[in-house]
Amino acid sequence: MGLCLLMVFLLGLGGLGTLGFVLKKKMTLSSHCVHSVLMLQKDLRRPLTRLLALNKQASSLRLREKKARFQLKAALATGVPPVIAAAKARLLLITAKQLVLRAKQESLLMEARLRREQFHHLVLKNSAKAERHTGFPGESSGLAVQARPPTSLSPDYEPTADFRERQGQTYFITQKFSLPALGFEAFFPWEDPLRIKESCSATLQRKGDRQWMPVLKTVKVSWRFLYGSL
Amino acid sequence: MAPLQKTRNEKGSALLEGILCLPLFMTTAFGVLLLGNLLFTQMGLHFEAHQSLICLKETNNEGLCKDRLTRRARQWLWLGALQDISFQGNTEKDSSILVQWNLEGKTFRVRRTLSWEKALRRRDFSL
Repeated sequence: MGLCLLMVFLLGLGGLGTLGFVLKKKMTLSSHCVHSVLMLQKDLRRPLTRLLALNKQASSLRLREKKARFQLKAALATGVPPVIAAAKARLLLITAKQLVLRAKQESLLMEARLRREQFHHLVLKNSAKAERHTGFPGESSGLAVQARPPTSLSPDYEPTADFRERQGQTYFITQKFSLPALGFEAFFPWEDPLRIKESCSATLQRKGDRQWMPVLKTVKVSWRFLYGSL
Repeated sequence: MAPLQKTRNEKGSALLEGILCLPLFMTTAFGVLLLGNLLFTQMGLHFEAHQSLICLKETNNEGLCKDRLTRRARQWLWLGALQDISFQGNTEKDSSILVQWNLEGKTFRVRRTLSWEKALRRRDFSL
């Protein structure tokens, strides 16, 4: 009977230890998840702020382009070659400036896209058995912005109407544990029987006039309150 | 062959020992179970408190997260009862929660704080 009680005691201790391990891992995973998505949004804040800051210059260039086109039209009507040449040169200069600005805008969008790609392909330390999935609604662009007017050479970029949703980055992570590591391989011969899942999502929220703040948002398919599966 | 020696009559001594040891055994077993339960509950409440802080940050809805935590905390409280849950701040810098539960008149506390500011300063993605 004493032996039997000792077994029960040891099993209880083992159970408690395993539960503690699972909960600890789940908390670590959830902290990692939340930290990663918030950090990504913090990184995306820079290109977004800089892109929006270029809008003033873009609007001004569009206005000057319109004026230059009007002046060219008037010059063509006069039929005087030097006047036409001067109007053409002015328009060409403005177009060149617009192209430079466009390159800046594209590079900022590319930077955001690159940040998301880096996040997607991030290699985690000490996590050979972690499966990661990331996703965001506007897969083609790094930032949830739209060009206005879309056909202009130097458009204004504005946050989309559903910015909170489209900017959001969702992160799913599953970590597998093999029981040899836990010392139970004799009882559970199959591979990686313990899986701990976690999911989280973050987006950017406007704070004041020019500032953006990374915030967490709820994930539709959440594993937040699951403990793990054997 | 040596002559047989007369031994003491020990009839009933095992029963006496058993009766004497039983309270000791019962006390030890009770203590171990109680300690196990305390550990189990504290671990579970720590986990749920952590998750509810993230819930609060996600939804900004204190009532919803408190309700969810209350429901889930009861699953961990096999013995004892939940006394109070209070979010002690939800700022941009950090969020904190205090969960109190009692067992036989003794109050136990679980306090958990998540520092968002610190998390955003640290660029370490390891698990």
